[in-house]
Amino acid sequence: MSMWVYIIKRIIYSIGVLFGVSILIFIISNIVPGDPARIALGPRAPDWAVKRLRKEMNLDKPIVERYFLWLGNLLKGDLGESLRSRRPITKDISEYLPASLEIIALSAFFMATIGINLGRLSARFSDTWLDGVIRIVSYIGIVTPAFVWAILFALIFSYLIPIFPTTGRISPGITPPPRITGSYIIDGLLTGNFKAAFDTLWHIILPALALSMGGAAQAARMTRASMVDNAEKDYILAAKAYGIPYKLIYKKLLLKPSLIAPISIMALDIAALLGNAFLVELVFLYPGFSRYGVEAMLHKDLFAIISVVLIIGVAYTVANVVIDIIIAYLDPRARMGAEQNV
Amino acid sequence: MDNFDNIALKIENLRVYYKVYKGVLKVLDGINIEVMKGERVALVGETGCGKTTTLKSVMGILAKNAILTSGKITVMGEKILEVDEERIFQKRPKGVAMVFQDPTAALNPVFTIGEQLDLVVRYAAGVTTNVKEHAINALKLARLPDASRIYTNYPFQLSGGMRQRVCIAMALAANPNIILADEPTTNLDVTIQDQVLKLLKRLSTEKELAMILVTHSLGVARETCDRIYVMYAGTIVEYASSEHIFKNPLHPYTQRLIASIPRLTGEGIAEGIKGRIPDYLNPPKGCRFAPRCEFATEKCFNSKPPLYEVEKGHFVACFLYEKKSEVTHPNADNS
Repeated sequence: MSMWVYIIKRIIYSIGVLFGVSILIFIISNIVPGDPARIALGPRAPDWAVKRLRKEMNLDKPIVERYFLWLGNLLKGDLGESLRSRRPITKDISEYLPASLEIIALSAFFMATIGINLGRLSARFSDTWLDGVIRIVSYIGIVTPAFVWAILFALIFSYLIPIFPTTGRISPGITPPPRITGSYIIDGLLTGNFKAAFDTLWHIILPALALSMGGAAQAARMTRASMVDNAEKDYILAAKAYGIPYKLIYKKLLLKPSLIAPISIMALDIAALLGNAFLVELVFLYPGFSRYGVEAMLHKDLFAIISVVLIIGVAYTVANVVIDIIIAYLDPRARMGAEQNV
Repeated sequence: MDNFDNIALKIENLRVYYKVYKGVLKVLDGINIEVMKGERVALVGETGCGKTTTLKSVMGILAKNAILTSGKITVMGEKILEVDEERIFQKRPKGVAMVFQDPTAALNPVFTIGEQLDLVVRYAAGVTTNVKEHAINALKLARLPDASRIYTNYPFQLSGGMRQRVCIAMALAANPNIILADEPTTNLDVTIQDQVLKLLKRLSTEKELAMILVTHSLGVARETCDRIYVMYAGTIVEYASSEHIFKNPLHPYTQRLIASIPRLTGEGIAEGIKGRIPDYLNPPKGCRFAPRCEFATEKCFNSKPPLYEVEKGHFVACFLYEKKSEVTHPNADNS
């Protein structure tokens, strides 16, 4: 019961946060130098054409008015029109975003399973050779940029040992499933086109793995640190003294309080992928949201930029709500709103 | 000693060192403690003198960097620790439960009291049926009001005093013969301290539990326990019945300890003891108290004093009593 109240409260707060974020993004993207209308039409377009476009885009109105016009449209589900593709931005995004979300979801899965399990193993065998190996591997994981992993994986697992496809989202010979959610995997499963779903999954394994390496390494280190730290606490010593089996202590009594920190960090890492996956998407020639965002910025495609940043903002907010829910599950103190008195 | 069957816990010649960056801390230097069945024994000494290390050795939960160099521990006639030249024999003691100093740290913050108690009932007491009733019963024994509600609570929902009662309940849930209480009242309010001590005392009487109460307060020790072991820097310097320790303190350290108890008679701040606990990296070769002792002689610095039985059941590790160990009522003038 209290859990639901807590979640609803968190969601209401988040809507407030998003409102603030939207103001911030709108102002920043409107005060950066360069005239979007001029860039859209090119340097040789006559002045009157530029003027007309500015009027069409409401750029001649004061910024406050423009914001409310934009917000009104946003609430109607209209993000404006891209200056580059001349298509509604919602249409562009509805193509790219699900593709990216597929990768991010898989990447999150990899991060959590690889990270937490390596960390757990490392803590369980702390100060042995296994711990040493895991710690070195996680150092390497943290310091190596994701695109290097991407190139490395592509080289090894699709070129030298051709198990996975090198590029793209789906094999050329397979027709994508009809659009329901935009995710090929989900749509494929819903329409019974398992072949397309599986093929898409096969395509995103390498990019997802490349993207997850940094976060997984980080999570492994944090899980280990927190477990080793908590293992010295009296409640674990007591559990040992009372003869509670070692396995149970490690899997339950020690793990649960130790997951709070790594999970918080991991959720933010995952949200960050939405904007930071650009280079990896480039390596795998993947039609993802990051690439769309970077291209929009390079062309000063005003409304596209605002929309991309806004969606990344939404992703962070959602990630924060998810963190709060997971932590509320793990930590009764957060859930019940009591003062932290440790 | 007299009757083996009556001994609940026996610690012999226990030496525990800690390996640290700078070298080896020689903390416990040959501890001998004997607790009879149903007897309450206090272990009194300053912070850092090795009281907690002693208890942790019994429970088998010493820190990773601890080195056991000698010792033998027997619980209810069963050997649980023996260090010899080749190997260290160690097993988990049955029927021993420990109450920790800080009840907040001793309870897992993310599990309910019930979840934690159930595990203790299941694994420490070996009870597999009616686990919940057992757990709630333990809470009731620890005089917790509304035990079935507390069973569903998380530790942070309880006050400090209640948490310590929960820890005591957890110890009881293990069906112990011996309870080791490590300064159980240090982190509590004065009024609650008294309640917790009375609870421990009553439980030990009712259930015939042997108990070691670690404390730094001689007053608490006298109120609660039958016998007192005075510990200084990893050595037992004196032990006797509570009454005798106060009536006739023999060791210079015990004498100073008693003199330093604050009184309410307005004599100002009580006398302390000059100096500090020795450096465990390089402890004194002889008596560890010698550098702080006003009676110390050459001999005290060079060799360790054995325990002399000055009166019946009253032992002291001090060369002042070397020749007078037969005398029933010694004068502590010189050696």
